[in-house]
Amino acid sequence: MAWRLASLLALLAVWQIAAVSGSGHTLPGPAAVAARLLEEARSGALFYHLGVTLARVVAAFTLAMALGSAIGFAMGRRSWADRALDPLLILLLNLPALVIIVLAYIFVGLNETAAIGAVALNKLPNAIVALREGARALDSQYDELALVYRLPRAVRWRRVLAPQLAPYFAAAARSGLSLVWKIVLVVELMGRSNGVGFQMNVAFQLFDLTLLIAYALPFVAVMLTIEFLLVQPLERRVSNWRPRAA
Amino acid sequence: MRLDVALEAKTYLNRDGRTHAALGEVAFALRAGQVAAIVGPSGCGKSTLMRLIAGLERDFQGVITRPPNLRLGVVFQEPRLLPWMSAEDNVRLVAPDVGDDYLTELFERFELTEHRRHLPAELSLGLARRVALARAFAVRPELLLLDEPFASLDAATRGNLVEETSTLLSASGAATLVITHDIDAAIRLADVIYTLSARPGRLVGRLEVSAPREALTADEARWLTERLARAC
Repeated sequence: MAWRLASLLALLAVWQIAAVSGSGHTLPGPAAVAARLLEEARSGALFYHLGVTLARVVAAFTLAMALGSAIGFAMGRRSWADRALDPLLILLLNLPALVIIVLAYIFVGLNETAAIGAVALNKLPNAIVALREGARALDSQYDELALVYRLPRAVRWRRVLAPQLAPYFAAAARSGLSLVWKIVLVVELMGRSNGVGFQMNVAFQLFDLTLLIAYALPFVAVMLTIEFLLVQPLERRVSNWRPRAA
Repeated sequence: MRLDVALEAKTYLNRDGRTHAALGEVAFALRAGQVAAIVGPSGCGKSTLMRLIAGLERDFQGVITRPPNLRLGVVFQEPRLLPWMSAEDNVRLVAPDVGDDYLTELFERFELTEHRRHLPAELSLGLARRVALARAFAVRPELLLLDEPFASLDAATRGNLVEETSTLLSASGAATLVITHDIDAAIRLADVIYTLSARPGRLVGRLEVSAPREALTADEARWLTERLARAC
């Protein structure tokens, strides 16, 4: 903990030195950013834009994980589904995020559906790949156990399959969250009139570095909080039956 | 409950496209309350036979008849406990209606009482095997299939386990098939012992075990040894 604190303080110090030694419209210092952050918070703008962005993150993330899990599971379990969908998966994996976003805005319009759909589509292939691996790794011995003891389908899903898939789902969720929140900002920057990404665009147009950092920092803080308080504990929980590494 | 096995052959397709036979002609019947043991050399298809009877493989020549919706208890060669559940939850998963008294009795018989809340990773192989046995008995099976339930256990543990299993079998009234290469366990548990030949396994002998089971008569011992020697 002490080392982490020291590293953060060192970063602040370097930032302060860089700000003081610069000239013109260069880097604002921590104090200036903090003042701007408070100002934005007091006016409510910060919370509004953060809230909008978070809502998009949640929507796109949920959509991508739900669809990706279903498709990935089907591909892992059925070889015909794998053969049919694999080329599309490879295409989607290699399609630049920007292309998907631009195409979505052109074909669907500059609206919320296009924005969330484009983000979800960017995350979708990773979720598919992870869950396909999970489905492939399912132990057929447990399927046989479920068969001979005639476990009802719901019980089989909840108690036999889900625990085996959970670590793959958690890994996909973790990498997915960090991917989604980065892409949401790009989508907002390119075609929405609110959200942190939109504010970044305003700051960029005005060359207002203070505003840019004042929005970037709390946003990163929120995402890190979600990661540490929600995603990581969840990941530990779903895999805590595994023997600990020595 | 009556199980009728009239198997003609079970073949597998190799990777190189050639078929090879795992089992030949095997015919026997098993009724409620009867315990049969199948002994034979390694690789003669004993476990395959169990998989066919359990309904895990349906592609074979011949007929296996058993009542529909049969309550089946199976102990696989490896314990097959779900690693994310405690020993007790593993048992309750397959037998959700098991009474607390019966569960407690099973755990006591198999000396598992202090391990009820333990995860499979915290159990030794011997303990995990006992949980698998308790699980199979917990469903109050009509047909019980035990595939090498006492393999790789030390002599004392095996002795106790065979003893407890024998008591539970007499009380349960299940038709039971024990697959083993442990002749002592077969004699101790079974009313009838079938011997399989080397691969592809065919039924080559049948021996009724009469009480007292403590030892075979000299004739019976010679008979079994000869059969097995010939089979190998």
